[in-house]
Amino acid sequence: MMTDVGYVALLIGFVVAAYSASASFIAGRTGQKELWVSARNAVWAVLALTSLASAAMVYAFVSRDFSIKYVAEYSSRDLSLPLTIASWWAGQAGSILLWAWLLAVFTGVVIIQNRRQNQELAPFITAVMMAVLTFFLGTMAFAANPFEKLPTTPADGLGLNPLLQNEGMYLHPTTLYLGYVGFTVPFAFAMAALITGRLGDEWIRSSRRWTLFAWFFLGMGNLFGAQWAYTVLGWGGMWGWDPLKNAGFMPWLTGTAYLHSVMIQQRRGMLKVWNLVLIIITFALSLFGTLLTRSGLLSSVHSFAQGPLGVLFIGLIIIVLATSLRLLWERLPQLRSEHELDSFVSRESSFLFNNLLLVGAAFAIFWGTIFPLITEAVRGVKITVGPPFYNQVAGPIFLAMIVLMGVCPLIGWRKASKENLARNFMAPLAVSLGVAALLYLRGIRSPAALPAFWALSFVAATILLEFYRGARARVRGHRDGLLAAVPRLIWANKPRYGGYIVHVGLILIAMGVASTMIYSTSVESTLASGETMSIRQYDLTLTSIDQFNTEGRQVTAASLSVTKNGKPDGTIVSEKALHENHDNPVTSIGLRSNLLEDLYVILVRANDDGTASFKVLVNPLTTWIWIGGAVLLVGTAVAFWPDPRERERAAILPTRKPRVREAVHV
Amino acid sequence: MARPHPLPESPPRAPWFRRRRFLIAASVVVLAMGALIYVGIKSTAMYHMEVGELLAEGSAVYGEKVRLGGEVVEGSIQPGPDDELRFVLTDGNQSLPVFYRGVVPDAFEPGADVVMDGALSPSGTFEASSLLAKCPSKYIRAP
Repeated sequence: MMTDVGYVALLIGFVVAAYSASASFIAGRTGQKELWVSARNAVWAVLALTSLASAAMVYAFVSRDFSIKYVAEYSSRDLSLPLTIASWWAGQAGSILLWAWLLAVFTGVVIIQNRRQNQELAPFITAVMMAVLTFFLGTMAFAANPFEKLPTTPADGLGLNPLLQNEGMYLHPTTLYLGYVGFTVPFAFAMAALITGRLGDEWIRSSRRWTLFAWFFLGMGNLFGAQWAYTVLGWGGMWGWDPLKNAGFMPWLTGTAYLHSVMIQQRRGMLKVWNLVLIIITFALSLFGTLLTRSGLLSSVHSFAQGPLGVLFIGLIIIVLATSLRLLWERLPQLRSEHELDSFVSRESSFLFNNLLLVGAAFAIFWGTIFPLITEAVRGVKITVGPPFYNQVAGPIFLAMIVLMGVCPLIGWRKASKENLARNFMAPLAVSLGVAALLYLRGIRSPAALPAFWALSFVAATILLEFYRGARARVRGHRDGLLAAVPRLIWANKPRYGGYIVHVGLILIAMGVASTMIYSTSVESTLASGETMSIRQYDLTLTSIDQFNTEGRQVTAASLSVTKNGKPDGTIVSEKALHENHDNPVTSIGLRSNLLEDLYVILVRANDDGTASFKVLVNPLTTWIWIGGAVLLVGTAVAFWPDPRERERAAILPTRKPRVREAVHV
Repeated sequence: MARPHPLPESPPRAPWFRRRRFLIAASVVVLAMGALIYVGIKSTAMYHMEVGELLAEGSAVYGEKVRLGGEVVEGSIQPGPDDELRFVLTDGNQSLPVFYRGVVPDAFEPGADVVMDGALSPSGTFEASSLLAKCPSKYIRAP
């Protein structure tokens, strides 16, 4: 019953979304008020229908309706309630339903936000979003029906892959999808700007929060993915540069480029075409990411051609690129820069280089990801590149990017004077060189680590200097105390200081990643009870191996007592669990984190003779990656918060007078 | 905030040579990234082969690093001492003995799709230096 409701809701939703897309487009073109009202009502209808379908999906899972193929394939009776609900996005068809539902919700929010503003853009924004939604609903209605029925109803489902049965299942896919779907909104604004010819920066300003939203969640999705791999998959690493990880990373890189280059357009009226190209690419990469996650594209060209979904998605990406680039081409004469680049040493120029690097990194990753497909198509042999390729290529690019992260916010606009350079960069340069020298003396001499830590301390010093100067100016002006001045300073210019906080978060993440990659040590050993293995300052002694059954799992747990620098330091437990009904064991690692390093114990195998094999790693500074993620959250929230300047700026903008105040938006 | 300084009006369009330095630097950056990608591919690319393709190459690829994909033959897995592992890999038609030493991923099991980096030794065994089992995207319980 509910299954029929769900499928019928999708079918009707498909028709209504198609109507809403065309009606809003025509209303936008002809200015028919009533048609626009009707198109908006259709959006609400689509939102209700996709919500109904989603509710039906959840209901089917919770009520264990195994007559539905999707429910039978991804859940079973022994699955806990939260995981049962999360099984919604464990597979292909359900993920597409989640995508569609989020897009419908976002469209509703956009309509509410633009009730009184962007009157000319709104119909076209709605048309674009509804057109994309029509595609997703059509895909479900005709190619990947999440409510497909089985000929006979099995007594129990096949169950959720044990590797997905943990917290990562709630956080990683959902944040990633919020990011992918979120980029539809700025893309729709860009298309509306191109269609109407309102090519000033109102579309950028109005979609700024959405861009920030999508960018933030995509970043978090990547971070949660890394954490999931680190704590659950149990191979000791967190980022394997596999196609799925790359899929989420590429739009994040181009999205970052876009967030920065729009500042140049808002401030100087330059880079208009570039910004449009960036948001088009970012949206296309988001679709590509969804495609990679949900089809077997990269395992082989052949397996990919078997499913209809891959072809549909490639078709959508081609249509999106062709339509949007054609629109852009037609508008080119109206997109002339209002200013030229004045000097090589200027903020504009440094932002351009930052963009170049971000897009270059995205391109390198894209090239590496699709390289096997290209060689297979061209030469008939599959040639792959692995993590060494990405590390070798991305490493230097990211290093340059970090240096620019310190330069960009401080270098003068138009043409930086010698005084500007000296005033802003002498102190950070001196501090960072001092840090590098200190690290060198302490024995950190790897040719990868030293430049990385130099660059990171350089950026940290520039940000510190900015905060100090701002606070000092406030102390003079407002008679605040220096410490009290900092939060007030942040609050007084949220986009700018939120941006700095985001940069701090990224520095911490980069620090954790660099030290984990360069200085991780690992030891593999097989121990009998009472035997000891050593790694760095730790000695681990196997005390016991226990086997027990719990909640449908057969668990083998190895306990090791730890001594650190010769002093007892508690015990650490690493497990391997075999789920009832599942063949693959799931390793649960033993992890002890502190701010300096992670002690990471993998139980590789418990042998029949009572010995056990372990792989133990010590990863320095890894926790700072997750701390950096939290800082990223704070910074984004600050930048997201309403700022009185926005209204002020919006009031000034239409006349396009050069503004006096200097501001960095995120 | 910290440095309020008004922007003067822009001068009329600058001639192209004013931007020359920027264009040169940008080209250098783009070329450098291109070179990084080129060198990266040159030095790290590996052939990705199935069992049959590798056997067809035979002695021509002894000792050469390749990536090999295939399916683990049921009942062929023999764990040895010191985390050693021997099993037989198949592409459905032909098969090949494999030797591996190291951490075995959780998803490794009879019938699993695996991807290994390693080389074919003259003895006819594939000596793997890394072993990845593909996460089954669709989980089907064994009967």
